[in-house]
This record gives sequence, C-alpha cells and structure tokens, in this order.
Amino acid sequence: MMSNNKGTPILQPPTTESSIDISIPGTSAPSDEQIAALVVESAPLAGPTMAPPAAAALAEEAVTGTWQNNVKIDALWCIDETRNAWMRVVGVGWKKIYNGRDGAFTALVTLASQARQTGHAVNIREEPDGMIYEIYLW
Amino acid sequence: MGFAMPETPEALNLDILRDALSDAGGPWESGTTTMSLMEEHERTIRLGVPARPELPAHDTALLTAATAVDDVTAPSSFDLRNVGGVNYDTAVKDQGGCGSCVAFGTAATMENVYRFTHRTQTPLDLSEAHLFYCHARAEGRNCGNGWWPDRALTAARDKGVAFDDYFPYTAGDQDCSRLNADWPNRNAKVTSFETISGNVAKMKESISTYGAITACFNVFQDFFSYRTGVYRHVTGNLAGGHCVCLIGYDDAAGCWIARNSWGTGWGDSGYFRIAYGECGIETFQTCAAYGVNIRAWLPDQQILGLWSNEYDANIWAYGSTRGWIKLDSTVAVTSQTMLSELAAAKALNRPVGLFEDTDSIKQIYAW
Repeated sequence: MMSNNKGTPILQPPTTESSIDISIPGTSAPSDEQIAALVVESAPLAGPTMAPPAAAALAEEAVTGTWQNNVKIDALWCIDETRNAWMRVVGVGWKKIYNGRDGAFTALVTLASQARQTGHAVNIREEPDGMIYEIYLW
Repeated sequence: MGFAMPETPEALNLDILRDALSDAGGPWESGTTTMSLMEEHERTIRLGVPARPELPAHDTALLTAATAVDDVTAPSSFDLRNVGGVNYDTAVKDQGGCGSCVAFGTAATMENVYRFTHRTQTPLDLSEAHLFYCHARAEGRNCGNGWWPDRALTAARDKGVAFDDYFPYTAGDQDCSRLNADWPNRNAKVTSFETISGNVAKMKESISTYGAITACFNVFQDFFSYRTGVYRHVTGNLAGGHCVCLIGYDDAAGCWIARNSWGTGWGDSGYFRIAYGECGIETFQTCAAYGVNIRAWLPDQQILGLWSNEYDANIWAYGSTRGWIKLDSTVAVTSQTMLSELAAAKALNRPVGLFEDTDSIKQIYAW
C-alpha cells in the first residue's frame, strides 16, 4: 500500500506503453548476454497521449495548492544563496521551487531540470506562497 | 488425521447427476472434465483439507446473510479478473496427484493480494512446493494428510514463500532439498492475516479491498463434473475437504467466484462459482491476508514517471509494470541518488532493474 503521512503520487502516467519484455526477471549480477537481451534501442518517448489527469483525481489529495497540468519548463535559474532556485513554466512565467527542506528542494530541482532537459511535460502544484511544492515528471 | 472420508466411495453415476441437476432446475452444467476422467482415488487425493462432515451442505442462514443488501463496506459484486478493465489474477495451476490444495490456494491468494493492493501488473509466481514440501512438511503434513490455510499463512508471514523458479512444483511428497539457497532474496511474505470464517460481510470486504482470500469447503462427488454455472450440491457422497482462492462474488447471482487448482481442464477454465451458504464455503475455514510484500529483483522495465513533494526523501518512481513505488528513504541523499539515476534512464528511454523490498526500492541498475 502506498499510503504514508507525507503524501504519495496519485496520478497515472500519460502512457503505459512499454517495449520491455517483462518476462525476463532482473538480476543482481546480470550477464552480458542478459544485458544485451534487455537493452532496447533508444527511441524517443511518445509525447503525452492522454488528457491531463482529471481534476477530480487531484481533489482526492488533501492539499490546498493550485495545479497546472501538462506544462513544460523552458528555463532554470539559481543563485549562490541557500535553496534559491526558480523554473520558468511555458505560458506562465518564473516560479520559485519550494525551499523549506534540503532533501525536498534537491529532489524538486532534479525533476525540474530533467523536465527542462528532456522537454517532457510536468504537473506542478503551487501553494499560496508562490512556490512549487510538488512535481510529477512524465 | 485423514484428509478424505474414511472409505473412498464409488464414483458418481453421471446419469444420476444429470437427473439430479434437471430436478433441481439446472443450477449448473456438468460435463466431462479432467477430474471426471480420473479414478475416484485420484480425485480424492487432491482434496487436501480434512473434511468437516458436520457442516450443512446448504446453510440457509448464511445464504440469507450473504445476500442481504445492507453491506455498505463492499460493492455488490467484484471480480479480480476485471477491476476497471484490469485483470489482477495470476494463472490457474494444477496441483496434480497430491493433497496440496492449501499451498495452491494460499499462494494464489498471496499473488493476487500483492498485485491488487499495489495495483501492479508485476508478474508474481510463488512456490507452492516451498509452502508444502518445506513449511507443511516441517509440521508433519504431506500429500496424504493435507494442511490448513491458517497454518500456511502463518508460515508465509513468519518465514516467507520463495518465488516459483526457486522451487518449481511437482506432485508427490519430497523434501526441501530442491529449494534454491538464495530464496531469502527472492520471496514474498504476508504482512498480517486473520481467520474470518463465517463472517460474510468481512469476506466480501476483504476480497474487494485486498483482491482475494482463502476458503475451504466440503467437496461432494458432483463437484468433480462441474463445468459452469453456480454450483450447488445436488447429489453424490462427501469426498473430502478442499481449499481454493476466492477472487470475487456476485450478490445478484448469489455466489462466490473461486479459482481452483485442478488445471484449466476442469470447471470454467479452472474457475467456478459456488452459491452462498453452500458446502461450508464460508464456515469451513476462511482466511484474509491483509498485505503481501516481496523481496526480489523486479522484471526490467521503463520509468514512466517520477514524483516528489515538499517532504524530504519522499520520492517515488512509476515503473512500467510495477506502478508507483517509493525510493529508499532511510537517508535523503540515498533517494536523491536513486532519483538521479532513474531520471537518466527515463530521459534515455532505457530499462532499469529495481530491487524491491518491503514496498520500497533498495537497489537500482540504470542501463
């Protein structure tokens, strides 16, 4: 079960297509042959093919923030100050990344950076203080 | 303790069965099955729970209770094979000529509880041989005298059950020597369970919440020829006790949906429906498992989503077969490291190897 008091992801990815042969178990020490058999040719991830997760699903989560779904990040910014980084959301503008805890801040920055690098869509939750508290990277 | 009736009865005359079904209004269809083609002693050896002849064949009080519509904690019907269009049930198996049905019913329940509670399509095939030839054997149980589900679930909780490839099943008493010594790194455990015999509301609630439960019942001879429909005992002698996995129910039809372990050549492709209150299905011994965790490498898969929020070390990944699972969170920098590696694999659309233990990822290969 996924429940805990810190919250859990509740949305499903836009696509569940996979080219991996799921009949092959992972191993702690894979052989070269296994690696060769498992590695698939690199192909661009399909863009989101599903509508953004329904607002009804989001409402199940006990948070008060505002969600923006299926948006992209086109710029990042940071400065030599403790936990001060921003991301620019296409069509929205600059948003500060939650800075309350080191671990959470670092994870959110990583997700934002990956979104910027790959061009993949994100769902983001903004709280009244203007910071981004939660990110789904698809 | 004998598992079947003291004297093996003569096989049921199928003409008598057809007449009895006709007289009863045709509640279910009989036919030639892999079981009906066997000799009577071959059939009864598959009944691996000591029979309880004191239970009524038709319990009208339980039938009434089960069909009552005031259950508010469970839906009016449920079928693990179709939950919102998704099939969480694992494959029907064949226990062969051994009274190991308890191991099969228990393993099936564990597989289904893991898959349904985690909403995952991760393949899971547990070793009935480990359950029966190691855990049951340690308690003096064998193909001839059977076992009990509450004992099997106790072993599954306290010791664990290996994956099937670490001790594949063959019918016939044997020792534990074929068990792969690495099984502590490739097993499943029940987190907790409860015996809920006779509590129909809790049976439905447990099935619809956790996906499946174990149940036992008295088998009469007519059951061997079951093909489809809602089974009710109409004729034949008591042959023994049997354990199966209940994967659903249907209040409109007044029945439980069960998965048997006699292969797909018996019943409705290995499944059957049995009427509420019939043959002790609720009261014989019914157990609910309230969670199953695994410790194993998952099938290699792709990362389709990553997630975090304002809490430290609360990072989750969505595997293409596993679904959402939390990254190890003992130390924040550990989950951050895993996030970085998974993000790289995701960006490249490459597979990852994930080692799951107690609902979180402990080790990663990112190719």
